[in-house]
Amino acid sequence: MPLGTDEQIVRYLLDEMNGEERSALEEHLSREPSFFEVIASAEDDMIMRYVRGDLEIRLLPRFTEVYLNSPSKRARVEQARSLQQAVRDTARARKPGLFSRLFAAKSPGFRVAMLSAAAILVLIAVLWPWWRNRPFSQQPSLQDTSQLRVSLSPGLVRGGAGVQISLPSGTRQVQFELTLPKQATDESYRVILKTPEKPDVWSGLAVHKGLTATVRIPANLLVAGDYTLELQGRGADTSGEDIAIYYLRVMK
Amino acid sequence: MTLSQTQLLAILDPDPGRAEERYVELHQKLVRYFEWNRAAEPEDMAQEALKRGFTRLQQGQKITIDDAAGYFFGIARNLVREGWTARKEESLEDQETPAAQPSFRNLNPSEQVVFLRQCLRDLPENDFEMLMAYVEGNGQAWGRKAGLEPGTLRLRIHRLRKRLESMARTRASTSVTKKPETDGAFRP
Repeated sequence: MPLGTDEQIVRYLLDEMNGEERSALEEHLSREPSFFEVIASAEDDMIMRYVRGDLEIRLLPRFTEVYLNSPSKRARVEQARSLQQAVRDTARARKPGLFSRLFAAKSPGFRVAMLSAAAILVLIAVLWPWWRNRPFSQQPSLQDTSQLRVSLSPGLVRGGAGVQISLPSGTRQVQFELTLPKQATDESYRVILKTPEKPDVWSGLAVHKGLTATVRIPANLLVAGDYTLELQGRGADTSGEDIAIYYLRVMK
Repeated sequence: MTLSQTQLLAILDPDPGRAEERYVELHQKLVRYFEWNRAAEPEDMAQEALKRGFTRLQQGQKITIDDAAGYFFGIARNLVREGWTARKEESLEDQETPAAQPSFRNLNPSEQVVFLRQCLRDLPENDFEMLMAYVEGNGQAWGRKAGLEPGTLRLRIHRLRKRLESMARTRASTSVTKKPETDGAFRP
């Protein structure tokens, strides 16, 4: 079997090779040092896929174990996150503004058409507040489109990474309906949102009704990645105690 | 006869300036190699590998392969096999003067973002587009359009990231006067 396939490198990085395979791969690295870059680039790629929330679900438990339990490897995950953030910030800064793009247009006819369209947009923007506040105007309800409802059951689903959700643009809030385990008897619960790296992204109270506890979380906290929702009791005997854990993956 | 530092580093590159760069790069590679082997102290182990390698060269051992990095990977492999662990007190006494150069990884994430943003501004448009496609998960489509195999694209991205991090490290070292941590590299 040829050395250095993607599959082999991933198994090497996730420490899933047996001694013989590992030894052969490292022997190859000593004889062919340029192979280092192949492994390192595959590792960069795997980490970035994790950061984006794109890592294959079957690799996730092992990745979490190997990469998030080691300070130096966790630093590489953080580095990838920093790069992603910096690239996004720079892309926003690099994007030319509407007016500079209009003036950069070569055809005078196109420029006139675009400027007219821009003028209409400006007019709408100016008149919109007045129109909106007319006495008979009906406020459009944002409620339905800005809130996403997600039902979760405790524990992992088959495959190991929990429920996957995508947030449509414009989502402001996600309402999680958490199925309570049978033994849950508290009147109210606290929910803590965590990532493997951040132990407390958000926490708040859940409303308990029947067999579910409902909690609303601002959507802007849910960037792509893996999360857990920890449900803690608030009763006299259960205060601060973990009642159930829900797993969730947010796709980009 | 004792070899000077420049003579020892010449095994990495005959040009002294480039040899210094290759040395820093070799140190970083060894750190990563030990991380792959789940070593508890990859930095210490990388130092030990370099120290052993240069000591043997000082004693007259010759490198028989083209790329000296392979020689050091061989030593690193032996260190892993023998389960070497750092003895802190000794290594501190024995340590030669380390280079006072802040490591990119030792910057906190917000500092990393700041320095990376500065470097990204100077990146050619094409490189930036490639990086943008990669971080957003559209790398393969970008690669197909550019006629690049997935492996080639990955290598290009890896080299670009290395370049960016090196640029960011240089910026950090010139703009931050007091940094408690160093790259900790053993100097021959």
